[in-house]
Formats: sequence, C-alpha cells, structure tokens
Amino acid sequence: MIPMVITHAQINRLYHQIETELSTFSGQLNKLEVAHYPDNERTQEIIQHLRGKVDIYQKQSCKIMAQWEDNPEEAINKLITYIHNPLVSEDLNFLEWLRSAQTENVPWSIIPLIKTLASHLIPDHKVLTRCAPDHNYQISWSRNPERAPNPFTILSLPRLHRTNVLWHTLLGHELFHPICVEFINKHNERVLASIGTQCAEQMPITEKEELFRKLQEQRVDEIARVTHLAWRRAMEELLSDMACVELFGPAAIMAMQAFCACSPLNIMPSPQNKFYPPARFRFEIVWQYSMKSEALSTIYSSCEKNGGIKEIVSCFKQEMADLEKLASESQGAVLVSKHPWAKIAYDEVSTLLKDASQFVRDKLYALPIRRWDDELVVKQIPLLLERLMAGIPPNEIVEQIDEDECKYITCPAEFAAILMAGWMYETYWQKTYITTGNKMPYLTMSRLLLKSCEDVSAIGQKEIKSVCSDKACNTESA
Amino acid sequence: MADNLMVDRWNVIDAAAMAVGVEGVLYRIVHDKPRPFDFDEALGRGLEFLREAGTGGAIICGTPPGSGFTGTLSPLCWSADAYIEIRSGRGPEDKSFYQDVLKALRSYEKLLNNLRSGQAYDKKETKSTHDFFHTLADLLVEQADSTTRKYSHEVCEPV
Repeated sequence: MIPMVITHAQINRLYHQIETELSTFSGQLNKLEVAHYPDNERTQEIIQHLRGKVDIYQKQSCKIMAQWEDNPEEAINKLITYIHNPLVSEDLNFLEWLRSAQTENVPWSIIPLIKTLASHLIPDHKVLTRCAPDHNYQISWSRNPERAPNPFTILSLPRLHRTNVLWHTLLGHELFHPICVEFINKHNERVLASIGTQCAEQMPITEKEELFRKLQEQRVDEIARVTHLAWRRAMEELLSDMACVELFGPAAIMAMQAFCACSPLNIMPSPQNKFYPPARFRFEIVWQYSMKSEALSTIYSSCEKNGGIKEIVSCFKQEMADLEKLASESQGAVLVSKHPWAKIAYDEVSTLLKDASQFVRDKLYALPIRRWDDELVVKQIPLLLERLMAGIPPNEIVEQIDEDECKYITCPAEFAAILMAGWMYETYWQKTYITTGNKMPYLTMSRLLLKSCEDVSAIGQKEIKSVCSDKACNTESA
Repeated sequence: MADNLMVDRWNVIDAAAMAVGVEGVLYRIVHDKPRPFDFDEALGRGLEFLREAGTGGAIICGTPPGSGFTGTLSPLCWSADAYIEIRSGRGPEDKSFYQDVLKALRSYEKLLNNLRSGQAYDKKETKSTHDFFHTLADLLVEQADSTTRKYSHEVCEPV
C-alpha cells in the first residue's frame, strides 16, 4: 500500500530494500554456480542471464531515483512494478528451478535423452529439466521476452516419481506443448469471434435460470475470456496428448492413466482446475484419433511368437481392452456438453479435432524420432521383454556374442521400445507381483528402465544421424 | 499434466508495469514535468497493450479485424474494469458499452501515438487518458501484489 504522503525517507527505504534484494539474489547465484548439474552448460547460461538482469535492475533503480522528486508516487510504483515484482514473482523462481535441477535431484541418467528429444521437437527452446515438489509434469515458457522463464523453458518432473521412467513417457506430451501454439494461433481469431458471439447470444437466457442468473452479473468480455481460455486449454492438452500417443502409443495412454489414478476421471473444466479438460474426455479423443489398432495387433502377434513372454502379452491385452471400453463409452463428451459455456468451448474443439490430429502427424513425421509403430521398435519390443523377465536392463539387443574373438555386436534399444516393453511388463508385474521376493520391486524395475535410458542417450545422438540410412543396428556398444 | 504454464504476452506483472509507465509519462505531461527516462519504451508498451485490448473489443463488438489475432481477451477485460471504475462502477447496461470502451481505447491509442511521434495533442484528452491509466495501474498493481507472496500463516483445523 502506497502511503498518502510520500517522504524522501520512505522512498530511500524502499530503494535500499530493493538494493538488498538484488544483492542477496546475486549472492544466491554465486552459490548455485558451484553446484553440480547434469546439464552444466544450460545452468551456467541461466546464471549468466540472471546476472545480466540484476545489472539492468540496478541501472533502472538509479534512473528512477534520479527522477523521484518530479513525482514520488511514480517513483515508488516504478520501483515496485519494474524491479521488485518481477524479481520476487518471477526471477526468484529461477533459484528453485536451478536447485531442483542439480544432479542429486533429477533422474540424471535420462537428462541427455530429454535434451536430445527436446532438440528435435522444440529446437528453439533452451530446456532445463528439474524435479518439482508438485505431483505434476509441467512445461513453462514465456511469450513475453521480459518475463520468466524467458528465454528458457523449464521442464518439471514430479519429485516423488523421479526415477519412474514409465511415467516419464509423458515427456512426449510436455515437449509438444510449445508446438501447439502454431495451431492455436492459426484458429484463434475465428474461434474467439465465434465464442464472443455465442456468449453474447446466451446472455439474455440467463434471466430465466438460477444457475445462469449469477453469471449474468458478469460481463460478455469476462464470459468470453474464460470460455476462450477453456477452448485453448482443451486444444493445448488434446494436441499434446495426441502427440504423446503418436510417439509412444499405448505406453502414452498407460502413463496418462497411471498419472490420473489419484484424480477423478470426469471433472467439468472450471476455474478451480484451470479449465483443463476432463481426463476421460482426453482418453476418448486420443483413442479415437491417435491410436493405431493395426500396429497394436502387429505387436501382439510379434510378442506372442515368443512363448516366454506370452503371459505378459495376455496381461497387456486385457488392459488395452479395458481402456478401449472406457474410451468407447463417451462419458467425457457427455459431461462437457452439460454446461452452456463448456459446450460453446468444446463445440469449437470438436470442429478442429480432425485438423489437430493431422497437424500433430505433420509435425512429428518430419522428425528423425522413431515412434512406437516403427518396424525397428516393434521388432525390439519382445527382445527387450525377454531381458526384463531376466532382470536385465532393456538397453540393447544382442546381435552376436563371440567371447573367443572378443566380438560383442549389439543394437541400441530405441526409447519407444523401452517404454513399450516397460509398460507391457508393468501390466504383468501388477498382476503377478508378490511381496515374497519372487518378482523385482517396482523401484528396481524403474531403476532397470532408467539405466537403459542412460545407454540410449549415449548412443542416441550418433544413431539419430544415421536414422535415414537404416543402419541403426550393428552399432557397437561398450 | 495440468501442466501448461505458458506466460502470455500480457500477464498481470507486466501489465501493471506497463500501466505505471504510461501513467508516469502522462502525469508529467499534464503537470509540465520533464520526460521520464523510459518515455519511448513506456509509450511503446502502452500502445501494444491498447492494440491488443482494442482488437479484443472489436471481436466482442462483432467486428473481428481478420488480421490473425493471436492474443487473449485479458487486456480488454482489464481495460473494461478500469473504464467501469472511471464511470463510477456503472457496468455494461447494453451492447453499446463495448462500443464505448472500444471508442475510448482508440482515442487513447491515438493520443499515445501523437505523443510518441511528437505531434500536437489535446491537453484535455491527455488528462482523461491519464485518468484511465491511473485507474488501470491501481487495479493491476493491486492484483500483481498478491502474486508476490502467499498467506503469512495457515491454520490446519482438525476435521
């Protein structure tokens, strides 16, 4: 609260307070600079960027103080809104982001792989991966050049599931978020105009019903703003869900299901849930638009040939059948048509779904990333399952071993194949796990899979270069 | 996966700083004070804000500009809040309200453009534009303040 009469002492006090904040912030950066990070290059870049910002803030505060006598209220407001607010509300977040990106706090084995995936999906983004205390996956970036985390992008994984690579399948979803902007921008104005018109038409009805009467007190611009936000959120999530399923297939749907296990499936989008679409609706859409049943059948038949993993295939098939049933009931679609504003938003969503799935395919199919239905991936899945059954990390396919001649020819496992094999094994594990020690504990399974990704990431960069020449196999690994 | 934290071009922190900057410029003009150090930058951001708010207003009035608008209605909503405040709390009684907001936003934009390019400007118009940005700054500074801290204490009552 700005005092009614502003004295020189009060302005000085605020100025010195802000100076102290800047100096303490710099001290924290010095401490963070000496810590160990799996992506040291990126963290040093962030620290340098923040030092530059502190420098700008210090110069600005001097300029504000040089003109304070003209208008003390302006000086106070500028010290607060130009320096204190952005420092405290935004830049300060970087300190926690950096701390939580330190080697001991992240699944370091998978960080190089995430970096490689990000460099293909969102090459313009400087991604920093960290583990957050929230039970959430999150990607954060800024369209505003002056606001955090611009010019960086922060990718957050849930801390309690740090080593759970199966859940990290959802990285495919997160890394697609920034790409969605292109599709949303293309349709933004038309959809906003349509929403505005429909909301204005709905307003007179509000006099008749109790539920609507309260909304009438609000304004068309406010109603249209939140309806537009609900549309945008739905498109962002559905596009990213589609991308994750295109990349990792059933593994993506299993990861979505596991992540949503602690939340109700059918909740109406509202301000309380930041207008996110109901999980059930999301399952229905990805199953309808992105799941390839022929590819799934090919994987079944490829795995069923191997008698040792038949039981795994049977468990996995059952899970897929249950998911298909859930998706076919269309309960999510029924829910979002129940509320007039949600109906306006989701009618707009529905008209764009076909274009959206095409957009996702156009974006992903141009990239050198092997997807779950790739021939090589399908071939690798049963072989990786055999390794998992034997408690060996599913990191490679052994082509030939001849110890006499010191020959060890292997093919690196594809990330999509590791995730598919991992999730298939997980369905079997869930059905058969007993605490007597007959099966490996869940954490051990996670560790095996995590270790596999470490090898993939080391080999992956070489491999991606040769992706078009079909020479992925026969790469020698130490 | 409730996950997408894209910071829009206009968030409350940035919009508050913009409003304070433009208010500072206009106050100095109205009171014949020297230009602030951020004269050009403040007017530039003010114009950018008014354009996004104005396009949002045009869309609500049923006249979308067809220019591929990629923004949101947030700047329009904040502007409408300030406009209602200036009109002593009188909200939209009829459809012409948004026409009035749009007209006002266009006149503020014209004034800022004139100031920026050194052209002649109307003092009365400057005063009313200052009133708008002063009100907008008050509203946004208050909203931005709540983003800088959480509740000082939380009492966990037994269920």
